[in-house]
Amino acid sequence: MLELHFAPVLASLDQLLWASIASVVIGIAGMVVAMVAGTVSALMSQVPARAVRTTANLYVDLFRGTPILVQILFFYFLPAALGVDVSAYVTGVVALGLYYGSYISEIMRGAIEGVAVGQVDAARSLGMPKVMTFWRVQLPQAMTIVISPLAGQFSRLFKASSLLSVIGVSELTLRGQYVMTRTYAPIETWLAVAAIYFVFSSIAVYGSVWLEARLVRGRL
Amino acid sequence: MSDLFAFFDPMQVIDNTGILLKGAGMTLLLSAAAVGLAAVVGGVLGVMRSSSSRPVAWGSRAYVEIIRGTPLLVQMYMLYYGFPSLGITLSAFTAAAVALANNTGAYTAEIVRGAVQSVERSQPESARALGMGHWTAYWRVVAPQALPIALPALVGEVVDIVKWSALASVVVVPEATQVVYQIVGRSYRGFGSLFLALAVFYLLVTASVAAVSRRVERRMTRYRLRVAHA
Repeated sequence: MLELHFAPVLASLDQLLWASIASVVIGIAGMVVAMVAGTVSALMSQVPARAVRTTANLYVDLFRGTPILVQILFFYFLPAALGVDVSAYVTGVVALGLYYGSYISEIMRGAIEGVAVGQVDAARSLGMPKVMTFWRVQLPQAMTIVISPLAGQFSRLFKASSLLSVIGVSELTLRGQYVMTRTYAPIETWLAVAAIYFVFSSIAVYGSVWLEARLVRGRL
Repeated sequence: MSDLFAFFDPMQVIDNTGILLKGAGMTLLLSAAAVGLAAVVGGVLGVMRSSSSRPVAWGSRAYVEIIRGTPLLVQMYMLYYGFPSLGITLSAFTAAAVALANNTGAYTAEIVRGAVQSVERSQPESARALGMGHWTAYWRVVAPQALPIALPALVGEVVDIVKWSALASVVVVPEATQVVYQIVGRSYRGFGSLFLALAVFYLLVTASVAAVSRRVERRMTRYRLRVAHA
Protein backbone atom coordinates (compact mmCIF):
# COMPACT_ATOMS: atom_id res chain seq x y z
CA MET A 1 0.00 0.00 0.00
CA LEU A 2 1.14 3.48 -0.77
CA GLU A 3 2.25 5.75 1.99
CA LEU A 4 2.38 9.42 1.25
CA HIS A 5 5.08 11.46 2.90
CA PHE A 6 4.20 15.10 2.62
CA ALA A 7 6.89 16.33 5.04
CA PRO A 8 9.65 16.94 2.45
CA VAL A 9 7.22 18.64 0.07
CA LEU A 10 5.71 20.72 2.86
CA ALA A 11 9.23 21.84 3.72
CA SER A 12 9.42 23.30 0.20
CA LEU A 13 5.89 24.69 0.31
CA ASP A 14 7.13 28.27 0.65
CA GLN A 15 9.02 27.85 -2.64
CA LEU A 16 5.92 26.53 -4.34
CA LEU A 17 3.78 29.35 -2.98
CA TRP A 18 6.27 32.00 -4.14
CA ALA A 19 6.34 30.37 -7.55
CA SER A 20 2.55 30.38 -7.64
CA ILE A 21 2.63 34.15 -7.28
CA ALA A 22 4.80 34.22 -10.40
CA SER A 23 2.16 32.08 -12.12
CA VAL A 24 -0.60 34.46 -11.08
CA VAL A 25 1.39 37.47 -12.34
CA ILE A 26 2.02 35.67 -15.66
CA GLY A 27 -1.68 34.82 -15.83
CA ILE A 28 -2.74 38.43 -15.28
CA ALA A 29 -0.13 39.82 -17.70
CA GLY A 30 -1.16 37.23 -20.30
CA MET A 31 -4.81 38.14 -19.80
CA VAL A 32 -4.05 41.84 -20.38
CA VAL A 33 -2.33 40.97 -23.69
CA ALA A 34 -5.20 38.63 -24.58
CA MET A 35 -7.84 41.28 -23.85
CA VAL A 36 -6.04 43.85 -25.99
CA ALA A 37 -5.45 41.39 -28.85
CA GLY A 38 -9.00 40.04 -28.61
CA THR A 39 -10.68 43.44 -28.47
CA VAL A 40 -8.61 44.88 -31.33
CA SER A 41 -9.30 41.80 -33.46
CA ALA A 42 -13.05 41.93 -32.64
CA LEU A 43 -13.19 45.62 -33.57
CA MET A 44 -11.26 44.91 -36.77
CA SER A 45 -13.87 42.30 -37.70
CA GLN A 46 -16.52 45.09 -37.65
CA VAL A 47 -14.66 47.38 -40.05
CA PRO A 48 -16.13 47.65 -43.58
CA ALA A 49 -12.69 47.38 -45.25
CA ARG A 50 -12.30 43.81 -46.37
CA ALA A 51 -8.53 43.58 -45.90
CA VAL A 52 -8.90 44.53 -42.23
CA ARG A 53 -11.60 41.94 -41.62
CA THR A 54 -9.58 39.24 -43.41
CA THR A 55 -6.55 40.02 -41.25
CA ALA A 56 -8.65 39.62 -38.10
CA ASN A 57 -10.14 36.33 -39.35
CA LEU A 58 -6.70 35.05 -40.32
CA TYR A 59 -5.38 35.82 -36.85
CA VAL A 60 -8.28 34.02 -35.15
CA ASP A 61 -8.12 30.95 -37.42
CA LEU A 62 -4.34 30.61 -37.26
CA PHE A 63 -4.00 31.01 -33.50
CA ARG A 64 -7.05 28.94 -32.59
CA GLY A 65 -6.21 26.20 -35.06
CA THR A 66 -2.69 25.42 -33.87
CA PRO A 67 -1.46 24.15 -30.47
CA ILE A 68 -0.53 26.70 -27.85
CA LEU A 69 2.70 24.82 -27.13
CA VAL A 70 3.74 25.26 -30.78
CA GLN A 71 3.08 28.98 -30.47
CA ILE A 72 5.01 29.23 -27.20
CA LEU A 73 7.99 27.46 -28.79
CA PHE A 74 7.73 29.61 -31.93
CA PHE A 75 7.81 32.87 -30.00
CA TYR A 76 10.55 31.52 -27.74
CA PHE A 77 12.87 30.61 -30.61
CA LEU A 78 11.90 33.49 -32.89
CA PRO A 79 14.12 36.22 -31.35
CA ALA A 80 17.14 33.90 -31.31
CA ALA A 81 16.50 32.84 -34.91
CA LEU A 82 16.40 36.52 -35.85
CA GLY A 83 19.42 37.30 -33.68
CA VAL A 84 17.59 39.46 -31.13
CA ASP A 85 17.57 39.03 -27.35
CA VAL A 86 14.17 38.84 -25.66
CA SER A 87 13.54 37.10 -22.33
CA ALA A 88 11.53 33.88 -22.24
CA TYR A 89 9.23 35.53 -19.71
CA VAL A 90 8.18 38.18 -22.26
CA THR A 91 7.82 35.80 -25.21
CA GLY A 92 5.85 33.40 -22.99
CA VAL A 93 3.39 36.06 -21.87
CA VAL A 94 2.96 37.29 -25.45
CA ALA A 95 2.34 33.74 -26.72
CA LEU A 96 -0.25 33.06 -24.00
CA GLY A 97 -1.92 36.41 -24.72
CA LEU A 98 -2.08 35.94 -28.48
CA TYR A 99 -3.46 32.39 -28.21
CA TYR A 100 -6.24 33.25 -25.78
CA GLY A 101 -6.77 36.59 -27.54
CA SER A 102 -8.02 34.63 -30.55
CA TYR A 103 -10.71 33.04 -28.35
CA ILE A 104 -11.53 36.34 -26.64
CA SER A 105 -11.92 37.95 -30.07
CA GLU A 106 -14.91 35.70 -30.73
CA ILE A 107 -16.40 36.48 -27.29
CA MET A 108 -16.02 40.22 -27.86
CA ARG A 109 -17.49 39.96 -31.32
CA GLY A 110 -20.53 38.25 -29.85
CA ALA A 111 -20.86 41.03 -27.29
CA ILE A 112 -20.58 43.81 -29.88
CA GLU A 113 -23.18 42.15 -32.09
CA GLY A 114 -25.24 41.02 -29.11
CA VAL A 115 -26.43 44.37 -27.75
CA ALA A 116 -29.71 45.16 -29.48
CA VAL A 117 -29.52 48.06 -31.93
CA GLY A 118 -32.83 49.31 -30.52
CA GLN A 119 -31.13 49.98 -27.19
CA VAL A 120 -28.61 52.33 -28.79
CA ASP A 121 -31.29 54.02 -30.91
CA ALA A 122 -33.51 54.51 -27.86
CA ALA A 123 -30.68 56.08 -25.84
CA ARG A 124 -29.71 58.36 -28.74
CA SER A 125 -33.32 59.47 -29.33
CA LEU A 126 -33.62 60.31 -25.63
CA GLY A 127 -30.79 62.76 -26.20
CA MET A 128 -27.89 60.78 -24.73
CA PRO A 129 -24.56 61.71 -26.33
CA LYS A 130 -22.74 58.92 -28.17
CA VAL A 131 -20.03 58.54 -25.53
CA MET A 132 -22.58 58.38 -22.73
CA THR A 133 -24.61 55.82 -24.68
CA PHE A 134 -21.50 53.66 -24.87
CA TRP A 135 -20.69 53.90 -21.16
CA ARG A 136 -24.24 53.79 -19.81
CA VAL A 137 -26.07 51.53 -22.24
CA GLN A 138 -23.79 49.46 -24.47
CA LEU A 139 -20.95 48.65 -22.10
CA PRO A 140 -23.04 47.51 -19.09
CA GLN A 141 -25.10 45.22 -21.29
CA ALA A 142 -22.07 43.85 -23.11
CA MET A 143 -20.32 43.26 -19.75
CA THR A 144 -23.05 40.91 -18.56
CA ILE A 145 -22.64 38.91 -21.77
CA VAL A 146 -18.85 38.60 -21.67
CA ILE A 147 -17.99 38.28 -18.00
CA SER A 148 -18.52 34.55 -17.58
CA PRO A 149 -16.88 33.40 -20.86
CA LEU A 150 -13.98 35.78 -20.18
CA ALA A 151 -13.52 34.27 -16.73
CA GLY A 152 -13.51 30.85 -18.39
CA GLN A 153 -10.73 31.97 -20.73
CA PHE A 154 -8.77 33.47 -17.85
CA SER A 155 -8.96 30.19 -15.94
CA ARG A 156 -7.73 28.34 -19.07
CA LEU A 157 -4.96 30.87 -19.62
CA PHE A 158 -3.86 30.56 -16.01
CA LYS A 159 -3.67 26.77 -16.27
CA ALA A 160 -1.85 27.04 -19.61
CA SER A 161 0.77 29.27 -17.96
CA SER A 162 2.18 25.94 -16.71
CA LEU A 163 3.47 25.44 -20.27
CA LEU A 164 5.95 28.28 -19.80
CA SER A 165 7.94 25.84 -17.65
CA VAL A 166 8.93 24.23 -20.96
CA ILE A 167 10.83 27.37 -22.02
CA GLY A 168 12.38 27.75 -18.57
CA VAL A 169 10.21 30.51 -17.13
CA SER A 170 10.34 30.24 -13.35
CA GLU A 171 6.76 29.56 -12.29
CA LEU A 172 4.82 26.96 -10.33
CA THR A 173 5.27 23.94 -12.61
CA LEU A 174 9.00 24.49 -13.13
CA ARG A 175 9.42 24.88 -9.36
CA GLY A 176 7.39 21.68 -8.98
CA GLN A 177 9.90 19.83 -11.16
CA TYR A 178 12.72 21.20 -9.05
CA VAL A 179 11.04 20.16 -5.78
CA MET A 180 10.24 16.73 -7.24
CA THR A 181 13.84 15.97 -8.17
CA ARG A 182 15.06 17.16 -4.79
CA THR A 183 12.52 15.40 -2.56
CA TYR A 184 12.11 12.17 -4.59
CA ALA A 185 8.40 12.49 -3.80
CA PRO A 186 6.74 12.93 -7.22
CA ILE A 187 3.16 12.11 -6.17
CA GLU A 188 3.22 14.40 -3.15
CA THR A 189 4.85 17.19 -5.18
CA TRP A 190 2.35 17.09 -8.04
CA LEU A 191 -0.57 16.80 -5.61
CA ALA A 192 0.64 19.96 -3.87
CA VAL A 193 1.20 21.77 -7.18
CA ALA A 194 -2.23 20.68 -8.46
CA ALA A 195 -3.87 21.84 -5.23
CA ILE A 196 -2.36 25.32 -5.60
CA TYR A 197 -3.50 25.58 -9.22
CA PHE A 198 -6.94 24.36 -8.19
CA VAL A 199 -7.31 27.01 -5.49
CA PHE A 200 -6.38 29.87 -7.83
CA SER A 201 -8.51 28.69 -10.75
CA SER A 202 -11.46 28.18 -8.37
CA ILE A 203 -11.04 31.75 -7.13
CA ALA A 204 -11.23 32.93 -10.75
CA VAL A 205 -14.32 30.84 -11.51
CA TYR A 206 -16.30 31.63 -8.34
CA GLY A 207 -15.15 35.25 -8.38
CA SER A 208 -16.68 35.61 -11.82
CA VAL A 209 -19.95 34.03 -10.66
CA TRP A 210 -20.10 36.58 -7.86
CA LEU A 211 -19.21 39.44 -10.20
CA GLU A 212 -21.78 38.36 -12.74
CA ALA A 213 -24.49 38.19 -10.08
CA ARG A 214 -23.65 41.76 -9.07
CA LEU A 215 -23.58 43.05 -12.65
CA VAL A 216 -26.81 41.38 -13.71
CA ARG A 217 -28.54 42.73 -10.58
CA GLY A 218 -29.72 45.86 -12.36
CA ARG A 219 -31.37 43.86 -15.12
CA LEU A 220 -35.12 43.41 -15.41
CA MET B 1 18.19 39.12 -47.72
CA SER B 2 20.26 35.98 -47.26
CA ASP B 3 19.14 36.00 -43.62
CA LEU B 4 15.57 35.88 -44.73
CA PHE B 5 16.36 32.95 -46.98
CA ALA B 6 18.06 31.11 -44.13
CA PHE B 7 14.97 31.78 -42.01
CA PHE B 8 12.64 30.25 -44.60
CA ASP B 9 15.11 27.77 -46.09
CA PRO B 10 12.77 25.09 -47.45
CA MET B 11 15.58 22.53 -47.60
CA GLN B 12 15.27 22.00 -43.85
CA VAL B 13 11.72 20.76 -44.39
CA ILE B 14 12.58 18.75 -47.50
CA ASP B 15 15.65 17.09 -45.96
CA ASN B 16 13.69 16.14 -42.86
CA THR B 17 10.51 15.00 -44.61
CA GLY B 18 10.90 11.45 -43.35
CA ILE B 19 11.03 12.22 -39.63
CA LEU B 20 8.49 15.03 -39.97
CA LEU B 21 5.97 12.63 -41.50
CA LYS B 22 6.75 10.07 -38.81
CA GLY B 23 6.07 12.76 -36.22
CA ALA B 24 2.82 13.68 -37.93
CA GLY B 25 1.82 10.02 -37.89
CA MET B 26 2.63 9.84 -34.18
CA THR B 27 0.45 12.91 -33.52
CA LEU B 28 -2.44 11.24 -35.35
CA LEU B 29 -1.91 7.94 -33.52
CA LEU B 30 -1.71 9.65 -30.13
CA SER B 31 -4.79 11.75 -30.87
CA ALA B 32 -6.77 8.74 -32.07
CA ALA B 33 -5.86 6.75 -28.95
CA ALA B 34 -6.81 9.69 -26.75
CA VAL B 35 -10.12 10.27 -28.57
CA GLY B 36 -11.10 6.62 -28.11
CA LEU B 37 -10.19 6.63 -24.41
CA ALA B 38 -11.80 10.03 -23.87
CA ALA B 39 -15.09 8.77 -25.29
CA VAL B 40 -15.08 6.01 -22.66
CA VAL B 41 -14.02 8.32 -19.80
CA GLY B 42 -16.48 11.04 -20.82
CA GLY B 43 -19.35 8.61 -21.33
CA VAL B 44 -18.82 6.90 -17.97
CA LEU B 45 -18.34 10.17 -16.08
CA GLY B 46 -21.30 11.76 -17.86
CA VAL B 47 -23.64 8.94 -16.89
CA MET B 48 -22.24 8.95 -13.32
CA ARG B 49 -22.85 12.70 -13.12
CA SER B 50 -26.56 12.17 -13.89
CA SER B 51 -26.82 9.19 -11.52
CA SER B 52 -29.59 9.20 -8.90
CA SER B 53 -27.16 7.76 -6.36
CA ARG B 54 -25.83 10.64 -4.26
CA PRO B 55 -22.26 9.36 -3.62
CA VAL B 56 -21.79 8.46 -7.30
CA ALA B 57 -23.08 11.82 -8.53
CA TRP B 58 -21.10 13.76 -5.92
CA GLY B 59 -17.89 11.75 -6.38
CA SER B 60 -17.92 12.11 -10.15
CA ARG B 61 -18.68 15.82 -9.84
CA ALA B 62 -15.71 16.35 -7.50
CA TYR B 63 -13.46 14.43 -9.87
CA VAL B 64 -14.58 16.48 -12.87
CA GLU B 65 -14.05 19.74 -10.97
CA ILE B 66 -10.54 18.75 -9.86
CA ILE B 67 -9.47 17.67 -13.34
CA ARG B 68 -10.91 20.82 -14.90
CA GLY B 69 -9.31 23.03 -12.25
CA THR B 70 -5.72 21.86 -12.74
CA PRO B 71 -3.33 22.05 -15.73
CA LEU B 72 -3.08 19.13 -18.14
CA LEU B 73 0.71 19.31 -17.94
CA VAL B 74 0.60 18.74 -14.15
CA GLN B 75 -1.78 15.81 -14.67
CA MET B 76 0.60 14.36 -17.24
CA TYR B 77 3.57 14.73 -14.86
CA MET B 78 1.51 13.02 -12.15
CA LEU B 79 0.97 10.02 -14.42
CA TYR B 80 4.46 9.93 -15.89
CA TYR B 81 6.59 10.73 -12.82
CA GLY B 82 4.19 9.96 -9.96
CA PHE B 83 2.53 6.69 -10.91
CA PRO B 84 5.77 4.65 -10.96
CA SER B 85 5.90 5.02 -7.16
CA LEU B 86 2.46 3.36 -7.09
CA GLY B 87 4.01 0.48 -9.02
CA ILE B 88 2.40 1.63 -12.28
CA THR B 89 5.05 2.56 -14.81
CA LEU B 90 3.66 4.06 -17.99
CA SER B 91 5.51 4.72 -21.23
CA ALA B 92 5.62 8.36 -22.29
CA PHE B 93 3.09 7.61 -25.03
CA THR B 94 0.66 5.88 -22.67
CA ALA B 95 1.02 8.55 -20.00
CA ALA B 96 0.35 11.29 -22.56
CA ALA B 97 -2.62 9.46 -24.11
CA VAL B 98 -4.20 8.69 -20.73
CA ALA B 99 -3.65 12.23 -19.43
CA LEU B 100 -5.15 13.73 -22.61
CA ALA B 101 -8.11 11.36 -22.55
CA ASN B 102 -8.80 11.82 -18.86
CA ASN B 103 -8.63 15.62 -19.11
CA THR B 104 -10.86 15.74 -22.18
CA GLY B 105 -13.18 13.17 -20.62
CA ALA B 106 -13.86 15.53 -17.72
CA TYR B 107 -14.99 18.23 -20.17
CA THR B 108 -16.90 15.69 -22.28
CA ALA B 109 -18.77 14.47 -19.20
CA GLU B 110 -20.42 17.89 -18.86
CA ILE B 111 -21.35 17.91 -22.56
CA VAL B 112 -22.82 14.40 -22.29
CA ARG B 113 -24.74 15.31 -19.15
CA GLY B 114 -26.17 18.47 -20.73
CA ALA B 115 -27.22 16.62 -23.87
CA VAL B 116 -28.82 13.75 -21.92
CA GLN B 117 -30.74 16.21 -19.78
CA SER B 118 -31.95 18.09 -22.85
CA VAL B 119 -33.84 14.98 -24.02
CA GLU B 120 -37.38 15.17 -22.68
CA ARG B 121 -37.99 12.90 -19.71
CA SER B 122 -41.14 11.55 -21.31
CA GLN B 123 -38.96 9.89 -23.98
CA PRO B 124 -37.19 7.31 -21.78
CA GLU B 125 -40.31 7.03 -19.63
CA SER B 126 -42.42 6.08 -22.67
CA ALA B 127 -39.78 3.60 -23.76
CA ARG B 128 -39.81 2.04 -20.30
CA ALA B 129 -43.61 1.94 -20.32
CA LEU B 130 -43.48 0.07 -23.62
CA GLY B 131 -41.40 -2.58 -21.86
CA MET B 132 -37.84 -1.56 -22.89
CA GLY B 133 -35.12 -2.23 -20.34
CA HIS B 134 -33.36 0.70 -18.62
CA TRP B 135 -30.17 0.46 -20.68
CA THR B 136 -31.99 -0.33 -23.92
CA ALA B 137 -34.10 2.81 -23.47
CA TYR B 138 -30.91 4.77 -22.82
CA TRP B 139 -29.13 3.38 -25.85
CA ARG B 140 -32.00 3.28 -28.34
CA VAL B 141 -34.08 6.29 -27.34
CA VAL B 142 -32.03 8.79 -25.33
CA ALA B 143 -28.62 8.41 -27.02
CA PRO B 144 -29.81 8.92 -30.64
CA GLN B 145 -31.54 12.14 -29.59
CA ALA B 146 -28.75 13.40 -27.33
CA LEU B 147 -25.89 12.72 -29.75
CA PRO B 148 -26.78 15.28 -32.47
CA ILE B 149 -27.18 17.91 -29.73
CA ALA B 150 -23.78 17.08 -28.23
CA LEU B 151 -21.97 16.66 -31.55
CA PRO B 152 -20.71 20.21 -32.22
CA ALA B 153 -19.27 20.45 -28.70
CA LEU B 154 -17.79 16.94 -28.96
CA VAL B 155 -16.06 17.88 -32.22
CA GLY B 156 -14.56 20.85 -30.40
CA GLU B 157 -13.13 18.39 -27.88
CA VAL B 158 -11.60 16.24 -30.65
CA VAL B 159 -9.97 19.35 -32.14
CA ASP B 160 -8.67 20.21 -28.66
CA ILE B 161 -7.18 16.72 -28.28
CA VAL B 162 -5.23 17.12 -31.53
CA LYS B 163 -3.95 20.53 -30.40
CA TRP B 164 -3.12 19.52 -26.83
CA SER B 165 -1.41 16.31 -27.99
CA ALA B 166 1.57 18.62 -28.62
CA LEU B 167 2.14 18.48 -24.84
CA ALA B 168 3.37 14.92 -25.27
CA SER B 169 6.56 16.44 -26.69
CA VAL B 170 7.39 17.56 -23.14
CA VAL B 171 7.79 13.92 -22.05
CA VAL B 172 9.65 13.29 -25.34
CA VAL B 173 7.03 11.39 -27.34
CA PRO B 174 8.36 11.77 -30.91
CA GLU B 175 5.26 13.48 -32.31
CA ALA B 176 5.18 16.40 -34.76
CA THR B 177 6.02 19.19 -32.31
CA GLN B 178 8.83 17.20 -30.70
CA VAL B 179 10.40 16.48 -34.11
CA VAL B 180 10.35 20.18 -35.07
CA TYR B 181 11.69 21.10 -31.62
CA GLN B 182 14.64 18.78 -32.13
CA ILE B 183 15.45 20.04 -35.62
CA VAL B 184 15.26 23.67 -34.47
CA GLY B 185 17.37 22.79 -31.43
CA ARG B 186 20.22 21.77 -33.76
CA SER B 187 20.01 24.79 -36.07
CA TYR B 188 17.78 27.79 -36.61
CA ARG B 189 18.17 27.35 -40.34
CA GLY B 190 14.74 27.01 -41.95
CA PHE B 191 13.08 27.97 -38.68
CA GLY B 192 10.22 29.79 -40.41
CA SER B 193 9.53 27.00 -42.88
CA LEU B 194 9.54 24.31 -40.19
CA PHE B 195 7.02 26.11 -38.00
CA LEU B 196 4.94 27.00 -41.03
CA ALA B 197 4.82 23.32 -42.02
CA LEU B 198 3.90 22.39 -38.45
CA ALA B 199 1.11 24.99 -38.32
CA VAL B 200 -0.25 23.88 -41.71
CA PHE B 201 -0.25 20.27 -40.52
CA TYR B 202 -2.29 21.07 -37.40
CA LEU B 203 -4.65 23.35 -39.35
CA LEU B 204 -5.23 20.59 -41.94
CA VAL B 205 -6.00 18.02 -39.25
CA THR B 206 -8.36 20.29 -37.29
CA ALA B 207 -10.10 21.44 -40.50
CA SER B 208 -10.56 17.81 -41.60
CA VAL B 209 -12.09 16.91 -38.25
CA ALA B 210 -14.54 19.79 -38.65
CA ALA B 211 -15.38 18.76 -42.24
CA VAL B 212 -16.02 15.13 -41.28
CA SER B 213 -18.18 16.21 -38.37
CA ARG B 214 -20.38 18.33 -40.63
CA ARG B 215 -21.12 15.24 -42.73
CA VAL B 216 -21.80 13.13 -39.65
CA GLU B 217 -24.10 15.78 -38.23
CA ARG B 218 -26.08 15.95 -41.46
CA ARG B 219 -26.43 12.17 -41.42
CA MET B 220 -27.46 12.06 -37.79
CA THR B 221 -30.16 14.67 -38.20
CA ARG B 222 -31.49 13.34 -41.50
CA TYR B 223 -34.70 12.04 -39.92
CA ARG B 224 -35.23 15.26 -38.07
CA LEU B 225 -34.89 17.25 -41.28
CA ARG B 226 -37.41 15.10 -43.12
CA VAL B 227 -39.97 15.72 -40.38
CA ALA B 228 -39.20 19.42 -40.42
CA HIS B 229 -39.84 19.62 -44.16
CA ALA B 230 -43.10 17.63 -43.99
